[in-house]
Amino acid sequence: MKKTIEIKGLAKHYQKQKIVLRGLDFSLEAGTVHGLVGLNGAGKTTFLNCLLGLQPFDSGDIAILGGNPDQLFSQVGKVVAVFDSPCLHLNLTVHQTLSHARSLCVKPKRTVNELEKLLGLSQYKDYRISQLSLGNRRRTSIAHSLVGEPELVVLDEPFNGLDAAGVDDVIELILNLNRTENTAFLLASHQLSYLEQACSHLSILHEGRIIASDEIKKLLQNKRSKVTIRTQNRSEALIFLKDRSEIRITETQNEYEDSITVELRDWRASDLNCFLVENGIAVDELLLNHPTVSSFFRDATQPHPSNMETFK
Amino acid sequence: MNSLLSLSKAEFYVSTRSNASRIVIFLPATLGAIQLILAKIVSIGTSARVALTSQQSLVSNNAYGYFVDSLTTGLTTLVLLSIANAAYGLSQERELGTLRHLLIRSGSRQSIIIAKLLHLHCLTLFSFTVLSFTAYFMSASLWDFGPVIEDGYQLIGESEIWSEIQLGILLAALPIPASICFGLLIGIIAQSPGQALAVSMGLTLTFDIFKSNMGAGANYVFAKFQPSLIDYSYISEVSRMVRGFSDVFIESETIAFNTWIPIPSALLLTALLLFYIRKRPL
Repeated sequence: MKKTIEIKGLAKHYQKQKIVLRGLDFSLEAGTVHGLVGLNGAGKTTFLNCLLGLQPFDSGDIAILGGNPDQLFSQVGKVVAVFDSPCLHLNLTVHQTLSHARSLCVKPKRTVNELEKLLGLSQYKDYRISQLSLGNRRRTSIAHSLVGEPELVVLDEPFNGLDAAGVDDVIELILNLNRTENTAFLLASHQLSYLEQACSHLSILHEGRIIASDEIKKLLQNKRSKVTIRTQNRSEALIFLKDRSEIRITETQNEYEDSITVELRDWRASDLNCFLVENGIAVDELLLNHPTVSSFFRDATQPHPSNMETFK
Repeated sequence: MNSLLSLSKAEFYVSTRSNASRIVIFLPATLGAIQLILAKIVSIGTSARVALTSQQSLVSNNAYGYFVDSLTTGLTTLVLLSIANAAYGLSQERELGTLRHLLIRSGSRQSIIIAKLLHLHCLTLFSFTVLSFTAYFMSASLWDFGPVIEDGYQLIGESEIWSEIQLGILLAALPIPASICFGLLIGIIAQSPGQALAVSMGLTLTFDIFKSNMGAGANYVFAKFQPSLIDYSYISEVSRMVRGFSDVFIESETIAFNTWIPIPSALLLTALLLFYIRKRPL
C-alpha cells in the first residue's frame, strides 16, 4: 500500500544531551486515520515538528508524500497541520482568518461560508480569534486546514478544549473526509477513547521509539479481557485461583481491598464465576473489562509491578 | 516566485487589518503634525513679543524650517517604530505559530523572510509618504514657503533649499532598510515578543547614547545616520541650514560614510537573517 509518511531512524536531541527521539521508525499508509500516543514528554510534539519541517533533526530519513519535510510547501497544500495551540492571527475575525487561509491555498476547494458551516462557526464569523473560546479557536484552526484538498492532515491534540458535541463533530468530520476523499490523518492525542473512535491505526511513542504500531484491531486481538472479582473471601479465592492455568492473576492490591483482578485465558467470565461458587466462595461482583486502546497503552508504557511475587 | 507572491499577499492581508500597521503609518505623521501646531503656537507668542519690543527676529520664520523639523520628528519615530514592529511582529508570529502554516503550505523559510522584508519596506515607504504630505501641507497652511531672506538679501534660494532637503531625506532614508533587517534579526533570535521588543529598542537607544563616545568608529554603524533622539543625521543640519544659519558644516567624509555604509549593512544583515532562519525551530 502507498505510504504517505515513511520515517527511518529519526533521531533528535536537545541541548545538554537530552535525547528525545532515538532512531524512530514510523510509517503511515495512504487513506488511513492513524493515532499517535505517548506519555507526557515522550517526544510527540518534537516528532511532529520534525515531520513537518519545523525543526531540524540529527539523523534519519523522513519522506512525507514522497518529499522532504523542508520542502512541504512545494506540495502546495497537500499536507496541512492543526497544532496544539491555534496558530492563528488573534486580531482577525473568523471570516477573515478563513479568507486568509484561502489566499494561501493554490487550489481552494471550499468557500469560506462552506467552511464556517462545516465546523459550526457561522454564528461566530464576525468574532475576532482573541474573543473566541478555546474550543471555537480549535474549530477555526481545523477549518483553516480544510480550505484546500489535503492528502494528509496532521492534528496535534485536536480534541483539547472541545465540548462533547464538538468532539463528536470533529470525529465525524475526520471519518467523513477519510471515507469520501481518502484523506489520511495523523492524530496525536492523550484522549485515548476519542482516538479509539476515530482511528483505524495506532502507534505508541515511548522513550523516543515507536514501541507498537499497527491496526487497532490487530493490536487488541492478542490482548485478553480482565475480570475484577469482588468477594468477602479474598484470601480463600486467591488460594483457589493461583494454580489455575485458565486465568492469570494480574492484580491483588487495588483500590478495593476485597478484590482480585485476573486475566482470562481459556475461561469466560461465567466459567470463573461457576468455579468460585462451586468452591464455596460467594462472589459479590464481577467486573468484565474488555481490552481497549487505553488498557493497551497502559500495559505498553507502564509495566505492572510483579504482583504475583507479592502474592507468593 | 509564485510562493513569494502568495506570501506577500498574505502579509498584506494581515497587515491591512492590524493595529500595529496603522500605528506605523499614522503615528509619525501625527507626531509631526502635533509638532507643527506647537511650533505655530510658540511662533505666534514670539511674534507678539517681537512686535511689542520692536526686536528683530533672529531666526527666519520660513515654513521650510518647520517642515524639515516635522519630517525629522516623523522619521525618528518611523525608524523606531519600524525596528520595533519588525522585531515584535516576527517574534509574535513565531510565538503564535502562524509562521508554521506559511512554512508548511506556502513557501520556504527564506521566501517567508523576503516577503516580510518587502512588506515592511512598503509599510515604511507608505508611512513616509503620509508623513511627507502631512508635514508639507500643514507647514504650507501655517507658514509660507519661500527663500531665506535676511536684511533684504537672499541667503538661500528655494531650489537650493529643496535640493538640500532631498539630500537630507535621502541620507536619512538610506539606513532604514538596515534598521528593518536589524529588527527582523532580533525578532527571529529572541525567545519571546517582549524580549524582541526590549532587546531591539534597548540596543538602538544604547547605541544612540554612546555613539558620540565611539568617535570615528561610529561611522561604520548604519544607525549613526538615521534620525534619532540624539540626532547626528544630515537632515537635522538641513533644518538649521534652511533657517539661514551660516555655521552649518558637514564633513564630506561623514556624507560618504552615510552614503556607503547603510546599504552594505542591510545586505549583511539580510544574509545573516537568511542564514539564521534556516535552522531556527518555528
